[in-house]
Amino acid sequence: MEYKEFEEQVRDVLELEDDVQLDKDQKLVDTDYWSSMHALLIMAMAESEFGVSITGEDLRETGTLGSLYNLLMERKA
Amino acid sequence: MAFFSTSHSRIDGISCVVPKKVVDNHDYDYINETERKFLMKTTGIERKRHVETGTTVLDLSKVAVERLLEKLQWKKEEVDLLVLVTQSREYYLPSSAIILQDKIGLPSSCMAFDIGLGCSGYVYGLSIVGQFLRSGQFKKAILVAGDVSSVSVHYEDKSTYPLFGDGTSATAISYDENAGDIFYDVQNDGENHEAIIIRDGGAKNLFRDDSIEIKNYGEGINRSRKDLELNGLDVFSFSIKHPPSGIKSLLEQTQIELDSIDYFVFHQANKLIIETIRKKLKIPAEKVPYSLQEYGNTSSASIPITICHQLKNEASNKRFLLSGFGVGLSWAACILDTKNVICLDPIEY
Repeated sequence: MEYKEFEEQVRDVLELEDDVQLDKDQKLVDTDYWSSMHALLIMAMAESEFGVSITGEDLRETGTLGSLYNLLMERKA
Repeated sequence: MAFFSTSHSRIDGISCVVPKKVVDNHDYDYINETERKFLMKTTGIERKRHVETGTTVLDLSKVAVERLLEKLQWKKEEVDLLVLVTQSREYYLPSSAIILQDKIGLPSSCMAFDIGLGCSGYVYGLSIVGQFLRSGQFKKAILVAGDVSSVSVHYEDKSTYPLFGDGTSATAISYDENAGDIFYDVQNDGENHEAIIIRDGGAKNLFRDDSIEIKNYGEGINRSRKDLELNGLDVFSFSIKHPPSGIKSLLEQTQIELDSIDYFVFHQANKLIIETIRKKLKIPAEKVPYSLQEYGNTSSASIPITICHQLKNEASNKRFLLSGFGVGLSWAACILDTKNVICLDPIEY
């Protein structure tokens, strides 16, 4: 899966409006759209769509959307 | 040994009681409207029930048990065993089940004890009662499972307050030589016991003056050490990993086909968790009933409340898979075939 497709999926899961900009390198916790509930949705998406388990610790360590994408691709492989 | 079975016991009836007071998450003004809507959509929990101050799990349970005994026409003196699964005990000691035995008027010959478990507790309780009944020496048992979690959640903690509701259940189980086996997968992870915890009030950290001191633990999370603390990310991660794995293992061990199961009743933790497990195991949506929209997370009562709320006319002659998971951390699943089960609509106290 290309990064762009992943980003679209994240946008869909988090129900982000079109005008919300997603920056690959920005820390998720620093964005306006991020909360613990969003984190749960991302974890559920990883499990349901990618068959990959990620933990709270993984999310804390990856930090950005770009690094999360890399982690998912790595585990999926 | 995670996998085992019990035999010769059947469920005769289930009765549930919830408090009258409705606490609606639409009115939870500690968080803003956007966050509130998002929380309800993600968790699926729109409202729940809370007890009035002073009402305990035993008050609710007495009604649940007496109603069930009456419907089943069981005499009190026939009950050999009373097991109470709760984390809302009346006192540090004695065991609350013994007080309940007296409140209901069960004979002193009725063995009574507590099991200190939460979300996995209903399945644990069934397995323990099943062990007593299997030999035929005990004939009739009542399993009570429930909590009044509202007394342990702080209004200014958005990670717990909107989720938990109060409720209790009574399940009548009896010895039946012709009853089929019930298969269990029961597991624990004590290493992560701090993921869901009330820190003060036990022997390790006795209740002190500063146990009620409110501290901030992040945005929207204020609580004291006597309040329930829940690490949402860790619990979510645990819930979508271990319980489905236990269910897969149970199906493999028993050689029971997933398609042969009529209903999968999950602990009502939150909708996102249950839906993720459901999709992971490829279970059709119509086989997974919910009660959390109306009652929230009712701890060990959530499985029986879901059955009584959604399946009261559908519970007889069916194959069920029940799955409880949470505080401990602990998770348990069982597969059982019902015969004639009387499931009573949840009533208010």
